[in-house]
Amino acid sequence: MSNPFLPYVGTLTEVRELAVGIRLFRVRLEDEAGRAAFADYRPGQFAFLSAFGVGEVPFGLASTPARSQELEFAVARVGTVTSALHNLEVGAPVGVRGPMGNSFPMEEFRGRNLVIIGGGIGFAPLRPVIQYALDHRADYGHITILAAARAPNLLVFREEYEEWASAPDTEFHVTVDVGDETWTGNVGLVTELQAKVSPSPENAVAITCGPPIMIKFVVQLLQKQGFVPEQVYTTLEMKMKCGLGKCGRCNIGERYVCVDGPVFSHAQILQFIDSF
Amino acid sequence: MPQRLLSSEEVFAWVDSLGSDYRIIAPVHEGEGRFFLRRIGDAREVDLSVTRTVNSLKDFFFPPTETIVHIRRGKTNVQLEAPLPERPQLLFAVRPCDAASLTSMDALFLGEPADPYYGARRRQSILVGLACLEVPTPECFCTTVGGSPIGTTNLDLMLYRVPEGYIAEALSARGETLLEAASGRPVEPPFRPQAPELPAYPCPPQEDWVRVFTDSLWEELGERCLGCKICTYVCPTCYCFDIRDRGAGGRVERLRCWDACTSKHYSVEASGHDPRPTRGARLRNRFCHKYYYFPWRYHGTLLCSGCGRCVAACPVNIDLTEVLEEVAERAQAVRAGGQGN
Repeated sequence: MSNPFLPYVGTLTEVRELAVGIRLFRVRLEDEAGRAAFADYRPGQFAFLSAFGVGEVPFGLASTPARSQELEFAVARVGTVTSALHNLEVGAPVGVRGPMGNSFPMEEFRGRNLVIIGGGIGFAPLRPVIQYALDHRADYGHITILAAARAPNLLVFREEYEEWASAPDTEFHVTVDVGDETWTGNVGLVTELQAKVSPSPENAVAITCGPPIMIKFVVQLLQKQGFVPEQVYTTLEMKMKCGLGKCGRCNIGERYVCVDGPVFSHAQILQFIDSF
Repeated sequence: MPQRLLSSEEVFAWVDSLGSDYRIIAPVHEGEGRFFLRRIGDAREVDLSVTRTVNSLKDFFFPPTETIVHIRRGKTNVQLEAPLPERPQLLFAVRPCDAASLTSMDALFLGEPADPYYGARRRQSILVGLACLEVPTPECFCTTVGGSPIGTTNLDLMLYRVPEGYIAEALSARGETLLEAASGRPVEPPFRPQAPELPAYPCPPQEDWVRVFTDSLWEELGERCLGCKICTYVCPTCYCFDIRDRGAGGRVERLRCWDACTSKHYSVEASGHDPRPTRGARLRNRFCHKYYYFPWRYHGTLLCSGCGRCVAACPVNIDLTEVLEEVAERAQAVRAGGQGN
């Protein structure tokens, strides 16, 4: 067994503005062991990205191995490490540890309609779910995608909306809490859009990610819309240091988000003894 | 296994003879009745009148700070190297509770994915115990958590203090080899140690911790807690750690450092959100980790060896044995009241 604390070395091949304060980083893994480790990671898994000399932080993988040989991370500039990452340029070496955690059970979802609801940078871990479902289009029923952000300039992966909206048997909706002079689309909270779209719970699973407060209200509304807890999935985050179930930090009661999650069904979350 | 009777002088000579092969860690008296486990250069430094050392043997398997990755970075390249500990060490005169604490640490650090740093130290360590034929301190409660004052778990050798000196008993093949280097004479018939009586506290099962999870007990304790974290630092099984980079320029190190779940900064996220925002919530996490979360994950293994250090060290007398009693009592009340808390 190799040293799980030793990152694989990667190189930044692209840095692109996704939204205000959010950048997409593309990372090419430099050695065979790293490429082998990431050969078949799954939607919902995460990895630690190192800015050497500053530290490392976990991010949901925003790509799929089928679509991209390189790894993609959406990074919001919020703390010391993410600021250091934002200061890096193409060609800079970075470290990657992973892939870690469980994943969305895409096989179990086969034959079912998917309702995907993401807010802000919380949309990033849902992008691989969408990519995976569209790449296995015949395996899934109707796909409903709801994207949201506080403002238009905080929406991520906007250049992919067209692809999603035009995919077969797929509907795509987007809303912002507050519009601007260029915005002609929906204005209002994601739950208002969710109420309007009114996704059917019949033979469906709902997958949501966003700020904790958004998840809370989206899940409440999903329940009102007839979704039972077993039909609702989300991906959680807690502060983490190791990603290996060792450092003790990311526990919610007896569960560790890093190894028992980050993906949990709402039915599982209802069993948690502690809040998060 | 073989036993030998050694005088104090013979014990010290034996320790010195082992010093060429091992880094020796042993109890040293540092004044005011305070003993510490320290690396020694000479057996004369060892003080076997030791009660409980302030620090536990955790320091020598999982040090307060260690470099886990050496990072040499250029503008477009980087070289990483993991420094693994290579020196064999011999821990001398460790108490049975401390030796037993390694069972919890092994479950954590040797479980998949195995921690190479802890693993290297563990493989290269010899443990020589000093049995507690008399209860060393009023805070001791090892029997409550399944230990014994004369328990031999994880030990290669055990020393028993007797009027004539020390009886050394080999407990493993490695221990037997080491004992061959000692002088003294064989003990016939073999010495049979008697364990002293310890106070018995309740050890509430998982369901009881669930029953009192929302009890006011935690905030009551939280009001007293200073958040000083001394309980976690002296604890042989508190293992929460932080990872951070230190240094500037081309050479930096990635460090692993002890952290504490009772620290205000432990779980607060970059967004400012804190899932455990009060001292009470943090204390509950610490106690539940030891008696509920950890055993839940590791087949019933508790994350406590009953050494009593946290009880002795707490500046505001938050006493784990009292917490155990409170949890048992309040859980009993919940059960009796039928409020499925």
